[in-house]
Amino acid sequence: MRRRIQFLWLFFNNGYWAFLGKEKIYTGPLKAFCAPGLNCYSCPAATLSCPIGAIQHFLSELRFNWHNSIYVFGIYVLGTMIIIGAFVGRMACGWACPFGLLQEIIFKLPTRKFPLPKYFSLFKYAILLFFVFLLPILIIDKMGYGEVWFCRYLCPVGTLEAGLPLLILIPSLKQQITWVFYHKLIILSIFLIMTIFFKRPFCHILCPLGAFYGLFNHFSLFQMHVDKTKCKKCDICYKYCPMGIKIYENPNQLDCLRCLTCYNVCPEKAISLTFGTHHTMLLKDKHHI
Amino acid sequence: MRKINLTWFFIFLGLFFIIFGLYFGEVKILLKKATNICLSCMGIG
Repeated sequence: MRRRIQFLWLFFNNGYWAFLGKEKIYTGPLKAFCAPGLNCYSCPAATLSCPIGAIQHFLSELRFNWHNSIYVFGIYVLGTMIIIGAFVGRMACGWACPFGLLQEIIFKLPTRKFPLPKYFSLFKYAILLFFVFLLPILIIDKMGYGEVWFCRYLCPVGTLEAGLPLLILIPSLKQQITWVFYHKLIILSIFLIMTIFFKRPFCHILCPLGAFYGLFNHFSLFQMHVDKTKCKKCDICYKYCPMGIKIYENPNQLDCLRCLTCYNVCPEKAISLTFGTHHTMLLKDKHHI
Repeated sequence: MRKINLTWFFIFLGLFFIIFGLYFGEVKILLKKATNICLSCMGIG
């Protein structure tokens, strides 16, 4: 069921296929809403806005001067991200992120697999703080504008979903290619190759949206619980987890995507789910999600 | 109890941000930005 929902989100997030004839991106009213996952809004088929791209654009255009001030912080985008996080934590990563889906599909290639060191996960918090929030405000050009640091220098999703398709669609854009494009192409290639051997490496190491949602995992309305009397630490959950985490160590840890794979595969039925402040059982009778 | 309060604090904070964002016209600005091709996002230019 999760895979179907992931594909549904993929096609909803990228549902504007008229771009093939018109050679321009979607400009309709749906772009006023933020996508729950990381999905570049410059993708010709994108119907929703990327929250990380949007918030950087707002912050990069903050101007604190008398003559031409702009004090719009992007609180609408931030509010949307907070609401999603407060309701379900990082669940959007597991169910609605197109790049997450791509990584899970590539990981299925039959090769030897490796675990990622835990401390790699900390890197994405530095990316969120510096590349998304601080650098776009602090480093400005002569005109007083900042840059979208994460999108411009790091985001492989923008290269895959927007850069490459638009270069094919509008060949005249090739004249504007600089070293940044090749730099991002290398980052994309590195992550795609890593995805063959490691579980969702982009989500572990780089994704600032996942880092933001993950901060809410401990106190979101949706919570996961492990009954330690039932859990035998057989590690089946660890084997199937798309992030390679041990849910019994901490059921609401920062990297958990709430994909519910562990809930489905646990032979002891030790994992339960709650939604809301009364901690009522969400699903009393187990069935596959 | 503290956990519950923090959850609802963030839900109301999020709603507050969305309402004020709408009030300050952020949606129009977002629409203007998101409906143009962003060369920086693509890594071009």
